[in-house]
Amino acid sequence: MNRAMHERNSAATTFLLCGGLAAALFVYFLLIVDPRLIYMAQRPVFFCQWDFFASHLGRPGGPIDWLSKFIGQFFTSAVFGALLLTCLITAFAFIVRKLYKLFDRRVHWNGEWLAAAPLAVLTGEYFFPLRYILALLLVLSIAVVNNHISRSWKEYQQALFFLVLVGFLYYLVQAIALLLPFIQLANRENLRTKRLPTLVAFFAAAAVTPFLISRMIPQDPQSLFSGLVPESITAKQRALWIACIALFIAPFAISKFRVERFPMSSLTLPCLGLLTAVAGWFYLFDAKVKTVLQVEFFAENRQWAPLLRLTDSRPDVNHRLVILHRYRALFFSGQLGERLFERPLEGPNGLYRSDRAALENPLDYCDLLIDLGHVNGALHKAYEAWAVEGETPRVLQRLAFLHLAKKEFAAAEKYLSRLEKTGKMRPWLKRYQEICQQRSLQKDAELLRLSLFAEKADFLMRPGFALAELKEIARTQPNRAALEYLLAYELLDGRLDAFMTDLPAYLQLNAELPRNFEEAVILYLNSGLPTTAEQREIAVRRSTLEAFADFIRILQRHGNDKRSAYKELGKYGRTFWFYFLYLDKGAEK
Amino acid sequence: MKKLAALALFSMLILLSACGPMHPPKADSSLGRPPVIDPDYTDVIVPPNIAPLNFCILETGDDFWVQIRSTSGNSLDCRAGNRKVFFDLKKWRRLLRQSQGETLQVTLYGRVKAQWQKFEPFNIIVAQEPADDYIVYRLIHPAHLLWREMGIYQRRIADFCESTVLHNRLIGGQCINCHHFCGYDPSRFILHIRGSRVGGTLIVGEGKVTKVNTATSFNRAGAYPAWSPDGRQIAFSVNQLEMFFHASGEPRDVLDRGSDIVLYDVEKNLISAPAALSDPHWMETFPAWSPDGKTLYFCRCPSFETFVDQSGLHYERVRYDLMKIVYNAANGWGEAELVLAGSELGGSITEPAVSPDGRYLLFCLASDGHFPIYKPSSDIYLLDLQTGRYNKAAINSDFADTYPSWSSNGRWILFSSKRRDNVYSHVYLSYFVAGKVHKPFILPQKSPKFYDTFTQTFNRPTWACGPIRLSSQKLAKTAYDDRRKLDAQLDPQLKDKQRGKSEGAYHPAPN
Repeated sequence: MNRAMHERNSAATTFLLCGGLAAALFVYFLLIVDPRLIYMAQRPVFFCQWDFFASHLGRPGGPIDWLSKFIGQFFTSAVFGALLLTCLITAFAFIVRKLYKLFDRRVHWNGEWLAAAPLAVLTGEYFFPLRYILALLLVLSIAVVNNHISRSWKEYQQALFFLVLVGFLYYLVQAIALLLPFIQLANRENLRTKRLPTLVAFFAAAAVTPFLISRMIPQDPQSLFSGLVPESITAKQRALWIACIALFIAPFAISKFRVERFPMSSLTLPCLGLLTAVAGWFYLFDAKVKTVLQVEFFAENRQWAPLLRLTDSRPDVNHRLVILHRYRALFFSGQLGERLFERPLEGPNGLYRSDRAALENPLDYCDLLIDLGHVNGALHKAYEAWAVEGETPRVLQRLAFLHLAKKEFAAAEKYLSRLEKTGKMRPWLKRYQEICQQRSLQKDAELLRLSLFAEKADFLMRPGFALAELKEIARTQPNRAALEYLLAYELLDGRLDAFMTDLPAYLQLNAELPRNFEEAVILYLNSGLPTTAEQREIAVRRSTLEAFADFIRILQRHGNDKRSAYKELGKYGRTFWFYFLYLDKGAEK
Repeated sequence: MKKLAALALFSMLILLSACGPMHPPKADSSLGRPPVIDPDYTDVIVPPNIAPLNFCILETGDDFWVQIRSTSGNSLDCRAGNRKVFFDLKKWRRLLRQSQGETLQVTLYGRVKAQWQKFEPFNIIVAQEPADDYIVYRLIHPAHLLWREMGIYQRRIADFCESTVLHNRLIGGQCINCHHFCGYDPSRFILHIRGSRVGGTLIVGEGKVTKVNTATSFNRAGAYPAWSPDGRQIAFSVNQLEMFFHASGEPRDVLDRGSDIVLYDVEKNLISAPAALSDPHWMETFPAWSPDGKTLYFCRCPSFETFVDQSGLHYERVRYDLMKIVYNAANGWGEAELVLAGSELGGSITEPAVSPDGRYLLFCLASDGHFPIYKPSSDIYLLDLQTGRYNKAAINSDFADTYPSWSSNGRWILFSSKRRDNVYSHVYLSYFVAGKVHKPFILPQKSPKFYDTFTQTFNRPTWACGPIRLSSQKLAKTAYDDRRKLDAQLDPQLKDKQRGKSEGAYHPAPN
């Protein structure tokens, strides 16, 4: 009676424990991780198309890749994504528990949550590929099924079936399939069939399968085994991955001893798991990475106000993308010329660049070039983005849009049909499919504007010549964005004379100068350089003039020694004067 | 049991009713014009070993029927569900086999509401001469500076079977290109891989693969290859390519800052460079052997520095001429001779291809430069080497038409064209006889809608007499195997001659 009650209590505890941990995981994934950022980081490409599926069937690991890309699509919704991730980790714990019970009935102390802990942390890591988690789940599930169905078979039948199974699994998930022989070995030991041929067969299966499969389906000779501990992931991710596998296998080793010697409550290992998860999280989680992804997310959705709030609150995050999108956010909120020198990191390169480094985030630069009205430049970057992130919906969207702007309807139509197969951006797609069918851009002001620009552009671009490119854009397609960016670039580059040369074009579009531009004008007019009547007539605010007078007074008080004046001039740290004065002294700033 | 039989009968009736008429319908009226179909296969000449010309009907109608009749009375009928025409492969093959040298008349019937309308028939002529069995090409997305997935593929033209020769997934994602056959022999070919670890030229011949590093102290690694007909040497161009971009039109463009042609002796593993092919005052590229192996055609233009002045680079002045140089085993190489000046045609001549009988030469003519694939102005020209007459082949479009190549019997021309959308190049075939090029048609695909959504570009299509049987795995293994990599030796006479090309930056001159 007591025993039955004890078992009931134990089951209730386990149930409550599982429910509690699953709920905690859901909250963690939803509020801390935010699966939408995982989507931002990994951008899984998926097409609802037979050809797409078939292309994944032709290579080892392709099927699990396809599945992970499919599941990855749900991460565009925070709730769905969190739910899916929770389900994956719970499923992992459940399957591991099944395996423990299958292999050794004495294991009853919820050890599965200890193994699940590093996996939960890895799953929440933005760049850790989902395919590995799915592959691990599949391998463990097949281990359970195999041990269920082949238990009563004869030894040779089991061995033959096992060889076929490893081969098939290798085709599905690549090298992670090689875990199966090791799991099987653990079971074999417990079943006390320690005969040498069996052990050799299992190891042989692991060693030979990759070669056999690669003979049938070609694959990179360098990655036959390496997928077990993926090379493509970071060192920290790898450490946790190994920890996950080790913690999963550990109970098998422990079970060799009499478990009675280790009296543990059913909460001991889950608590240990929780501690492991927290430790793993601190080890792996990088808040800066999250900020960068959030910034990308806001920029993608053109949410400039939250982007500015976020970057204002995280001055320590100086990633190139953060700087780039912060400037864009400042421009769209009409503050670029007011707050240009708040965080002038990377100098003019932070504002715009066209060198090799820009190719690391080509789609972000593509969007900037669309803002500037440079269609071919944006198209070039969109194609580079295809090479970097694949045929993602956002790349297809940009390509369709830009080809429409160039009135290349056939190409645009192709990308729109491709986008349709992704199942994403439906309202946008419908609108532009209509435009494409009508072969007229009249219904879309932005397209019309860009198509006019595209017709006027007549210059050459060469990677690495950012200023020349901005100048040409502003010359051939004068618009507020292009001119403001050109002037901002020149100020960040310390090219005061070039700024004054290009300023009249800007003044034709904007009657009032922003504060940082005023500062540049005042500095130029007081620099002793030759000035024109038009330049002298540029209106500046009295407050800016007074500030400049104060700035000069402070400097003079220090005998024009900018080193000693540095601290006192700190109150003008966000002005062009300060930036210009200390331009060559980045470290001092 | 009776119930089951009744159910089966009922199901069959439903299926039959869904299939529509089993015979060509009788037209109630005639439209007096041929139908609009995509791809356009109207009035083309096709090889007898071509795959079914499946197409889409771009006409309004509820139902369609296609009827094909040959001159000798052979026929093939097909119902076009959903406006897509799929011919049965076996029936198509039989029809073509029985109709060699005949004209096929294709009649399309369309039903609008209850009325069947007949379109004016169009013809497809089945030539007597077959084309080579395989086409080999590279598939890649429209890459700019960076690339992602790409592969060399072979396609049997008699059906839709495509297989991978080498995919870059197998070699760490590196760039593969410049595949080229010795003659049309699928067991003797080369391909070039870029990249640090796997980089090199894979030379396949006599059942083995060899990885060769063709770069020496004299030259960079070989790029555009031409394998001599006797198989003993490969002429390579060695180029110093650099991309730049236009703010309007096609964004991409390529500069060659310095090129030469070198010869790689396959047996001796030796690089040599005849003076006339590696003249520092000229940039030589695109070698192409005559079928007798006695003449090497190539393109050349003055050295890069010629086009740079104080105002920058005048890329639009870079124009290549067609040249030839005679080779004689006893006397060696002769002097370079001008065959056709680019200036005479008002453009830049590139990608020469000599016909198997040595009589004709196809080449590309673009406004400037040496990368015609990025030039919408690029057209294919035909030069009669006997008379010296040339003309723009009647196969060109408003967009880039490039990479011409001859079939082994000289009757079929293969080329790539961007005519569908100005972004993606596709493979086109054209019949050639007695100096005349006929209307080209796109390489047929199983799905008639294939080209509407396929986002890979067909690069450098070439003919092959049969399938490449070597496995991708073996090619990939060889690419990784540095222990057996051969470093090409440099001709001792060239050892002291170092090539110094300017690496300095320049500003492109404004358009």
